[in-house]
Amino acid sequence: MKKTLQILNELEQTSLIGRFAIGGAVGATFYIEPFLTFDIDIFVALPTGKSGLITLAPLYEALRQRGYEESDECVVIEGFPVQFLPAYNELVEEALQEAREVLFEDVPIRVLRAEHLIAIALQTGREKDRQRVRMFVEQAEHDDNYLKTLLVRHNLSEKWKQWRA
Amino acid sequence: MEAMESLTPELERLFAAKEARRHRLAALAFPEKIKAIIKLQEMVAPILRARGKIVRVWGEDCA
Repeated sequence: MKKTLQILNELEQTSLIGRFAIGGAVGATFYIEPFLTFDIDIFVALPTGKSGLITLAPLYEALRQRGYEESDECVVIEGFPVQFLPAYNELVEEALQEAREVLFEDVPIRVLRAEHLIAIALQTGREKDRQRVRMFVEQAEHDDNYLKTLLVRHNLSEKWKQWRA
Repeated sequence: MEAMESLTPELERLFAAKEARRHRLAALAFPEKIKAIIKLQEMVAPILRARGKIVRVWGEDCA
């Protein structure tokens, strides 16, 4: 995984992608017990294409030129399937901006904050997200005040109450 | 009823141990957690493949 993360950093350094951070199940695993997953979700700011639209095509093409093939919705980078998720709404954009900088061994990476991962899970709203939120509450160190403000800002307080009931 | 009551302290101990283990796992370093995910993938991959699912264990083709 270290090599995969180094490649991602190179992509950012060469401006093929903008700021990125690990989210999804692997991001959650940073804070809670490890659980089964098969891909690495990378939330990413992408440069706008000539058409004015955000597209993953130039990134996929650059990765293909480096020998990394697509597999379903992922690109397999050094043996790890990476799914690039363009920041798709205000909550995710904010999560990306406020992501934590940490080290994976000696490789600098960013991971979304626990509070943002909780909020994104609430917003996504699947049964597995509900289970993940429960794990966060039980196991993850998080800032309750920060979380409450975040949930209010993104209209998720009511759902939080329902899921915690 | 008596049997259930006699089991309760033992079950409580088991559940507490399980909870403590989950907290220990949550406190592992991130690279150790990634190794644990790969172990989980290796355990579940044969079952999923037997069901016809295409599964890629991380790093499997990079050895």
